[in-house]
Amino acid sequence: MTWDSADFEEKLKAAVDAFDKAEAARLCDELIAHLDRSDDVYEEKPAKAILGILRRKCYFDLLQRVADAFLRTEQTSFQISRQYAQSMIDQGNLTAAVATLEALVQKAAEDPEESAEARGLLGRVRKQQYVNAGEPKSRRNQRVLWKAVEAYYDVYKEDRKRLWHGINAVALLARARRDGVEVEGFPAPKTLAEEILATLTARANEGPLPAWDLATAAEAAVALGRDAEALGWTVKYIRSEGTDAFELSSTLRQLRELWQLQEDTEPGASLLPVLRSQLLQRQGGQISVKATEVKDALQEASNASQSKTLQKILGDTGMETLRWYRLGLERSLAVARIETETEAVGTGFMVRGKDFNEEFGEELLLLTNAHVVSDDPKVQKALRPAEALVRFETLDNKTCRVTKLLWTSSPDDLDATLLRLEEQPAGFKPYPVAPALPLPDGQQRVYIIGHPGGRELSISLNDNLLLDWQDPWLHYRTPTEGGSSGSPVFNHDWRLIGLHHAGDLNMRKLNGKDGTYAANEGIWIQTILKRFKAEWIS
Amino acid sequence: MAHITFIHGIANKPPPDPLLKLWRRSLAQGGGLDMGTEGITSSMVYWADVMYLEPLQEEAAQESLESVEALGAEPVDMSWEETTAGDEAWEAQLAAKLQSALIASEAATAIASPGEPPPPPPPPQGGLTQESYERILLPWFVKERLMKTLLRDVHHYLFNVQYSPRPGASFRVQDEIRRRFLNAVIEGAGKPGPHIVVSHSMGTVIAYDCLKRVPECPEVAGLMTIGCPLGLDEVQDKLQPGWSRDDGFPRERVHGAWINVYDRLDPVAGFDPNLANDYRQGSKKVLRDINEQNSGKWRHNISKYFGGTQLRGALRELLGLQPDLE
Repeated sequence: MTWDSADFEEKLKAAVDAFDKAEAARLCDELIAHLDRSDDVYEEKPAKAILGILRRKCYFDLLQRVADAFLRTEQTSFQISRQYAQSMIDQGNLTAAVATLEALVQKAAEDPEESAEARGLLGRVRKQQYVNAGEPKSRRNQRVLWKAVEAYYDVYKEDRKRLWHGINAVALLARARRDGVEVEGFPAPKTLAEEILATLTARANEGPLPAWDLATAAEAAVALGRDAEALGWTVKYIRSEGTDAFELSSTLRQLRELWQLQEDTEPGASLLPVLRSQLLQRQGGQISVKATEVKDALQEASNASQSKTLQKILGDTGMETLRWYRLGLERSLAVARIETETEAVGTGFMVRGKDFNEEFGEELLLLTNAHVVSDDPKVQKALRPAEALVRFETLDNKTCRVTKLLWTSSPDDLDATLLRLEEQPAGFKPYPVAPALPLPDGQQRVYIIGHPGGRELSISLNDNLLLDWQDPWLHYRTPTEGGSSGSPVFNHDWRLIGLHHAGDLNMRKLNGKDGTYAANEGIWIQTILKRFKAEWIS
Repeated sequence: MAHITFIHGIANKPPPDPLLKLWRRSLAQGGGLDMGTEGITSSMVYWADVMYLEPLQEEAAQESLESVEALGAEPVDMSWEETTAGDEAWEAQLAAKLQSALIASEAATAIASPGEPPPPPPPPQGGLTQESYERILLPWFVKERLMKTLLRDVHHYLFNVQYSPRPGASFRVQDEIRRRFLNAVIEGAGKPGPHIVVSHSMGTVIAYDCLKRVPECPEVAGLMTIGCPLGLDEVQDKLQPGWSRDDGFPRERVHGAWINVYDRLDPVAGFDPNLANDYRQGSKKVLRDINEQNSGKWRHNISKYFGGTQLRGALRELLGLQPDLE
């Protein structure tokens, strides 16, 4: 059978755009099987396009497998080898990446473009190694830092147009100074930053800069302590067509991890909330904030959303995005982890009692899944109310016991349990419940707030595509690991629409449609409320 | 769930789907009413093809909502004026009123914009002479087009003119547009939740005409008119039988509120923007007029109206939605 590469690309792009990783993986398997059977070398251009599609949505595991298969077919493109190495870096396989990159540097000696890119990636491996270690006093780490600077700076020295190498050298040299690590033999970071910014300012006079150049200019301004200018470049960057979730995540990582910008001091106080709010608004955006830092992030987002300087630069739409992000952070204060003395079991969230029944008034209750907490002996794996410990990591790690299970609906029904806590956590603002669900038109996005994988001490706000709904179920898909059971599901206005309860690679489709798909499933909150009201006996 | 039947106004438009998307997007922008998020379905009563050769290109769509220039540059065919025996006086009166509303709006805009030339003296009332256009801040051809387009659309609808916008297509304008409006409202009536009509410009005349005067038209829960010329006597006269000052509210088919939103400097609504007094129910004023100030020289466009806080609040109210979060 002949292989239609244009058709394949289209299908892969559709799957990736719909966050359908299972379908993307199936398509990649198909491609790999085709590559392994075929005597032909896959053409370089479509091969690169395929890798580009996978990279854009951060499907690095798939990218690595496909790149590996391309290389097995004796595809000798340097760029494919480089992307292969990059996918390994992004998955933390640093040693394997170094081996590939060193071989590539040798092979591409006659190709200045590819050689420069590969050497830059070697710098990136060292940079990651240094940042991950977090111990500047270690002699080994100091050597790693030096190697990282050298890898970037040497490329920049040979060709001053290679600005991403230059700006990384700046960031690392500045970091070395802050960490008290002596890295000799290189210019002062501010000198390099001045030079880079001058180059970019001149380029900007000739025409619009691509996204990465704008991010580089913002970073150079950060290096020079020109906060307002950094913000100006950042705003241009977020408005640039080439800036998507992938680019924004990379920039945020660089500013947080390498530049160590903080949200309580400038320039981080302006840049970080702006970038985070933009990231969460992009398709597939995900924000992870350490639970202990949510309150601070909320305070900073609140300050930023009232800043007159930001208003001037960002305009109404940008400020609206900031306020929207702040509301999302506010909602995360409602989210708690449900655990035993030894392990995390699931998530739950505060709801306003009177939404369930007027008699509860302003009392706050906790909603979670029945498969997390239940008093029904048939639900064997659930915690019994007396065993459950409710931990509000975002509210100074406050822990509460459950005093009463008010109502439960079994896991194979609405999978919901409403609990009364021994005390009311302070600092949480009630939020509205949506009267209707978003349109199932393939365009709507819903947001899950939870603890990724139920283990990390962080709160994650995930952008999800709403696939379909049929009372009482909602199906949606996330680009990343889903929130744990019992997380709240919000609509784009941050009104509560559901209780997350399950995810499956082979979820049966709704509304009588044939077949299955990879999806997460939530229960519509209005159905839970209705059922509760019908069954509740005061 | 709720449903909105939209109906657009004068001037050519992009095809129906992009136009509906643009309207929904305009309402959602800047933290507005995101109909997708709220689960609100909608449809657009599209009638631009009854009057125009072909739709605007999609890329011109945004502009069509935002700029007076989207009225186009090519001359409007006004040969119909010569064949409208008996309508001349009506047409001349309407033209004069529209013109004076436009002059007033431009004069006030000019006063509000320091640094720009002072407002021109008002031109003689009555005819659409080129002399009068040249004194206006907006390019004369823009004004000419606005006047002619509005005159033609209102005239052809109210007088149910037989019109051929392109070879092979000919419509009795009112019959055709009424049919389309009815189909859309019947479809909306079958949806769950409240169903309301949101109309703009000439679309408000069509919506009112159908809701007040067409017995087969289903009932709706609410009506919003935006940038509306229903205050003009010449329009009201042609909505009889049906309209009267004391019983002009379309109570037969509008069960809830009618909210009318205008900008005093919108030339289409500007001559008589307040409707409450003219569309009473049992002699009582029940209609709510909202004065929402837009920005810029051209105050009639729908995207500016849709950005208004008062309009958005009123729309939420008509739809029975919770108030905005902040």
